[in-house]
Amino acid sequence: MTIMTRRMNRPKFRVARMRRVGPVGFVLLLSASLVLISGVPAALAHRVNVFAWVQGKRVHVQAAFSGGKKVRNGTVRVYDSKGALVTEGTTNVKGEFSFGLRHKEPLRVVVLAGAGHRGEWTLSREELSEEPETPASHSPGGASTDTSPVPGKSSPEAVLSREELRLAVEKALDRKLKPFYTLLADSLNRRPSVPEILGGIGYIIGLVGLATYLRYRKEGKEARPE
Amino acid sequence: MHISEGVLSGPVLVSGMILAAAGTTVGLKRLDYDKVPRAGILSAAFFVASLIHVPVGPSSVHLILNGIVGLLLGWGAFPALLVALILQALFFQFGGLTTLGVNTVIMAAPAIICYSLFGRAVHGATRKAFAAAFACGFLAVFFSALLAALSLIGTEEKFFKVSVLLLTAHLPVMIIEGIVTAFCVAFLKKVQPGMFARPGMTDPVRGEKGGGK
Repeated sequence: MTIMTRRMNRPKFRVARMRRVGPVGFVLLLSASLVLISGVPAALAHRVNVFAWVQGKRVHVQAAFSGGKKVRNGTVRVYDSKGALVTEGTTNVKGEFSFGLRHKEPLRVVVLAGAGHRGEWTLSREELSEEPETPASHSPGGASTDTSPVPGKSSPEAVLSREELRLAVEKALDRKLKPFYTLLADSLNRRPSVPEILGGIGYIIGLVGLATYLRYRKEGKEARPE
Repeated sequence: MHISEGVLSGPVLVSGMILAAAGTTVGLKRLDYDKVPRAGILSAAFFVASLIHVPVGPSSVHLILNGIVGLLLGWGAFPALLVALILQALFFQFGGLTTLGVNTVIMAAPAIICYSLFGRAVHGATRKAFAAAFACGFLAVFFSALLAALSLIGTEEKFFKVSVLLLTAHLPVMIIEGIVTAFCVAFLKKVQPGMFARPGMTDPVRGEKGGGK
């Protein structure tokens, strides 16, 4: 008998308690369900990060959604400073695209990732200046200044080897720096940080507070004449 | 589903802004002070939901939760989602400030459509309400995808192709949101039955509050 009444009472008690916890419980449920689903490995879309760098005489472009998922088959459009289309192409499976560098103009690389997603990266003049120059244009000036301190030993061969050395160093640097470029590109793919998330929620709470303040101020004004 | 800056043409952006402004005005008029905290909670939920991603195919999509926002706020969904979208654009660089109007319409209009379609059914018997809530969460995302495809007509031309792409990409989100909405509604019906905005009724909260206490 007592057991039966207890059993019958329990659900009632539960409902009564839940009613009181209502809004808080709702928020808890919502956040709990969100956390549960967030167990799925997340890859953030909705912002396309584009990173482009010069390597030798080519420009490499890497595009990813924020969070790291690569943009596959994204349309890449490269514009010069006047807004004219320089070249166009699509990214590969790794979200990469590269093209030959012809002019020393600043370039704007735009990646269209489909369904309204777009990102861009600007290559400044400084980044492009040293790369596309041909060794021939450099050698006469370089030869005269370099050889003057050691007049006896200057020979065309030495100048050539210097030039070769420069190219070799550049090549080696490009090779050595490649992981750093990719590291840099990956580090740009940051996901929203905790302060940003909390900041946004804070703003919303602030707005609710503001609305509440306005309400009570209005009520106060209405109350005064009475 | 957030459309980036620099993708859409001027007329689309402007009409998006006008529609969003109109919706927000209506929403603010209908949203009385008692519902402001609720709007705030839902706005925050929407703000955070965009960080929860469902990886599918080449792109990845995130939760939107506009179905449940519509059910609980009615027209108040417009201001609530506008605030969350401004903050997402500022903090996460999702979407952008010029596309704010278009994005607000893409998210909030389906919320209101689903609210008017299912707002009544949710008050029905438990099983029926559960089904209605699932459909509400599911269809809100469905309509959002359609609207996004519609806004892209001017730029990506092939409406059919884009909408098929967007709809297939968002199918998992539709299902998850349907389930989340259904369980939220089932829970809230037990806990706070007066919480749902009823189409045609200005304030469902007050009557319930007076009777409950």
